[in-house]
Amino acid sequence: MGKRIGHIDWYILLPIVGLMFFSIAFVYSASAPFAELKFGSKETLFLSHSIRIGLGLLALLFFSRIDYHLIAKLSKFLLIVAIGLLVFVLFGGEEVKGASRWVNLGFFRFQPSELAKYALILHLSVLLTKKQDYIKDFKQGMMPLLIWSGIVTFLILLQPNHSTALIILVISISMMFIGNVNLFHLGGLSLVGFAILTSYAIVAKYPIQRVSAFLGLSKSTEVVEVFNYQLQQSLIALGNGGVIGLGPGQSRQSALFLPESYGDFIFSVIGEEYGYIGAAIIIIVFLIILWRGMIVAKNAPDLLGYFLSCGIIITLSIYALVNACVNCGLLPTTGLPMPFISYGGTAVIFHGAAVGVLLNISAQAGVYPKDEKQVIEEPDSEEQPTLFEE
Amino acid sequence: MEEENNIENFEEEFQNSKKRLYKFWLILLFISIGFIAVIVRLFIIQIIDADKYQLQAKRQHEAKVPLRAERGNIYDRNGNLVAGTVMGVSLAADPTILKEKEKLCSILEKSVGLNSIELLNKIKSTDGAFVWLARGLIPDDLIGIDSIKLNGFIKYIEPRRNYLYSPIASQIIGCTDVDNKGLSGIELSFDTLLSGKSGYMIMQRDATGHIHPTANLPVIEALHGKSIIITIDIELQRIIEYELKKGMERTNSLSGTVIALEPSSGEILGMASYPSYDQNDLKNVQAMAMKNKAITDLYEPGSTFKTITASAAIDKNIITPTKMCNGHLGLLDYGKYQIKDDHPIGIVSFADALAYSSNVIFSQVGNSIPDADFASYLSNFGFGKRWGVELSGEPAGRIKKAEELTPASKRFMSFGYGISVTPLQMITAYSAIANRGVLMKPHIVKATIDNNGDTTFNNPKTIRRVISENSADTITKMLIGVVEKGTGKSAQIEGYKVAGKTGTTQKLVNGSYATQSYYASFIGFFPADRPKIALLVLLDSPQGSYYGGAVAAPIFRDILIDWLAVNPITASEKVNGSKSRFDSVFVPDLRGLYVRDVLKIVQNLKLKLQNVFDTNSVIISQNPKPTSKIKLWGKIDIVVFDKSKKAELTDVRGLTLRRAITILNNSGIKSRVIGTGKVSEQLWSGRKSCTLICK
Repeated sequence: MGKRIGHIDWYILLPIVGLMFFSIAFVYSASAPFAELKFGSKETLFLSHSIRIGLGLLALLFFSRIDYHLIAKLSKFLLIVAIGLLVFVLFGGEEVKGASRWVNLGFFRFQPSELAKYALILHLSVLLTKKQDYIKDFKQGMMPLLIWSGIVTFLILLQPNHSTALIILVISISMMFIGNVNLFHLGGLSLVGFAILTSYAIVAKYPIQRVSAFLGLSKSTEVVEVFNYQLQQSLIALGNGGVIGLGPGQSRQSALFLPESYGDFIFSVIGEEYGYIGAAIIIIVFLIILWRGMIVAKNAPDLLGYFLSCGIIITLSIYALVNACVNCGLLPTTGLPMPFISYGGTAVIFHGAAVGVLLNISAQAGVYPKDEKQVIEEPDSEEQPTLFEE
Repeated sequence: MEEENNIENFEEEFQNSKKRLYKFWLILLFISIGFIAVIVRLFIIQIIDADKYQLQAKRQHEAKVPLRAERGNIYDRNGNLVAGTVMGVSLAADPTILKEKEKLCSILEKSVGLNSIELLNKIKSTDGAFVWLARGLIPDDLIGIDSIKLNGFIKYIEPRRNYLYSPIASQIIGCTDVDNKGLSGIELSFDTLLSGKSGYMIMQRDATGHIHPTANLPVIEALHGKSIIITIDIELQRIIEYELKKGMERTNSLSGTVIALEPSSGEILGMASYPSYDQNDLKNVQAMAMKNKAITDLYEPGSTFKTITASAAIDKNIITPTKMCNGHLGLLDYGKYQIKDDHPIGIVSFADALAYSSNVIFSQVGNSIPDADFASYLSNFGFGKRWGVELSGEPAGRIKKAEELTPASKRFMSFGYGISVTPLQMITAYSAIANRGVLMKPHIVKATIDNNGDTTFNNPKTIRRVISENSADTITKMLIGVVEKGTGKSAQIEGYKVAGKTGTTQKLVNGSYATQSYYASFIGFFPADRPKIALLVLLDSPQGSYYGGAVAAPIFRDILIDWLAVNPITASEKVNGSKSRFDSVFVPDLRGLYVRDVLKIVQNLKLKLQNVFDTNSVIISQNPKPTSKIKLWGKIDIVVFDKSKKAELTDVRGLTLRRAITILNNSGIKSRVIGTGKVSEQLWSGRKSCTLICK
């Protein structure tokens, strides 16, 4: 186990690295007006983003060289650390926009929910693999999964960060579904989970206002106007871009019309600067990653690799999808960044690490065997690959 | 080994059997459908509905920012600024925000002198969010304003027209409204020229409302207004208005008009009517006071018109000045109508008939001029037509055409009844005589200066020769006689010859001539032998004495006496006849300036530079010295710093600090400066450094 029997999947690595490099340009263009206004220098956000992209790339390369089985052994520890940090930010975290979500380590400030998300996926994969024999049993099989997911979701909900909590819930349920839990249990519990979330949303008012603003149900309040304004500006940016866009750095909407133009709404700025073609290419790149991820999962050497790659692929693509939907008005405004593209602080480092793990699985899956002749001779990877090493 | 492999194989197979890939694919299918929905949605936004969003984007991004054109200045003929623009302060309020309305109003009453009750009414009667409280205030008046910090109180800095000589020449120059748009006078006639053309800049507006210029959006530069030099001599104008007012008070006239014209060019030197108004205080102005009666009013010229009749008769050789005429002792009875003289005379020369202003004799002389000739002389002198002077409201007046003339109408017309003329037409006709028979077009704009400082002169325009030089000289001599011995004696000025004619006209009131209402006038030119100025004085309904010779002629005289007092050079006119004060200029201070900059200055002053070798060097001394006088096109010697020579002990005393340092730096001399302003002392420490003490 854990032997590298092939190359990493270049069709995953190259699109990701491409996105990372382009994101530097995107963020610069989208953040310059804001950074100049706020920090007096156009480059402020661009520089910090470049550094983080660099760290993300390092994380990616580092984790692609480490056998994912080793990391899996630390899954419980990582998840407990993440939960600890989640608890910590509720009391000692740094508030950004009214929500305490950040841990400040002085030199490094990050959102523990980023860590918690992947720690949870990792641990769920480990648990699913371990309990596969008795997974249909609710108490022994499903219960631990539910507890871990519940804790993480609940803590994130308390921050409050509703959209991330919801996404984590969706990812957890997807993984349990893939992990062969009893569908009746899953269905029933999903209903309960969403019911709890919905009632929470109603109590907290804020999320429900967003949704009703999006659906045009609520009367014009200040909150409604803010959300509709963001969406309107986002649509103007996309429409203004047309087919071929205004050209790199020519976005006018990023001149402070579009709030978070370098963060959650960067996709609109890309649409404005590079047009329909540019925006569609971004979506297609994510589809390519999705498709390659699927192949990696299929060929993963064991169940752990399979679950892990499924979780990573689902996470990345759900984030991208939700963000793109928000940008073009298909979903209500949420605070979810687009992986590798948004100025999202530390998110890019964790996404980078996750893709690193995925690449490591791809190398072990032998999608690209080291010696191409062997592929010709032994096209069936289910033949014992270890024999050749002797 | 094999067993181990088998176990591993088995485990792997077992694990693979647990890969329910279809479940994963199901989720991926959902996600992929989502992505495809995004692509479709983008297609709708970015391609199908793009126009709609692009319009919205354009609307919110681009802001049209007006670039205000500066209104041009108005200068008098000697370059004095008479109308300029200063920055004024306007006050406004937003009643929806302003809470302490009473407080604001009482502060404004104390600090600016505005009426607090009026202000309060203004604020309270406004429904909207904006009301002007006062516009175009002078910043000096507003010392207390800066300390007012009330929400809803708004201060604007706006350009405001400033009339430096007001109320002098107010009717000519006119005024502007609070938006700097011309309302009357030159300001109105030349509004387009003066105001220029405002430009605009399309700027990009960000969401915070800040606007930024962008390179690829159009900028239409403002075209600043041109400046105008008017022909008015503001000093003469001041005298005219002063003497007219004095005369008005003396005679209790209804109104009065004066025009001064330069006969050789037709330039209007001064023009006033009373009552007048102050352009800087437009609140209490009556419409009548803004009227420029010299141009807009029609009247019957009466006896002053005899000069025109005489010109026609003499130029046509119908009569000579020495020809004896019968005055019929002041009464000529034609049956249907009588012609009377107030001062009856018997048989006198034609010259004396003019001097004593005999209606009886002029009615006979006028009748002896053929209809066609009479009509054409009138028309040639410019009567019955608008002169098209650059001010609005000028009427054509009315004279009879040749075919309309009858002996009766000719007889009355010959002494100025039955026609209507403007004061401007009269003075222009007299100027033609003063100009030895050549009629010049009257005008008031001497030149326009565009933004580059290029001046376009409005050259004097000759209309035609009306009478021969000899005839003009003859008439002039007769007019001198009027002043020397006739009705115009009060116009005499000691030491000078004055030519002129009095006029006293019964006013036509409701179709009949009133017995108690007269126009008293005097029209003449000065000095009679080489006229510099033609002057008309017209009083409407003087009380008490109403004869032109008694009430109008003294005003004529006083204006000229005052003018001589402030223009002593003109006094030499009589002695050597050629010099004027415009023949010499003050020498400017050129030290410390680059030769290339000086060339144009010197050119404009009508001077010349001598010893110009290198235009990129700095002038360190000059001869003649600054502020001395020099003849037109005189030469100024300059010494420039020469790098090849040793540094010399350059004297920079009396120069402004900036110029002084320019010179010293160019000369390689180190300088230390104490104080600011002009250099008063220059202390040398060695040949290469000095200390400047400035005050």
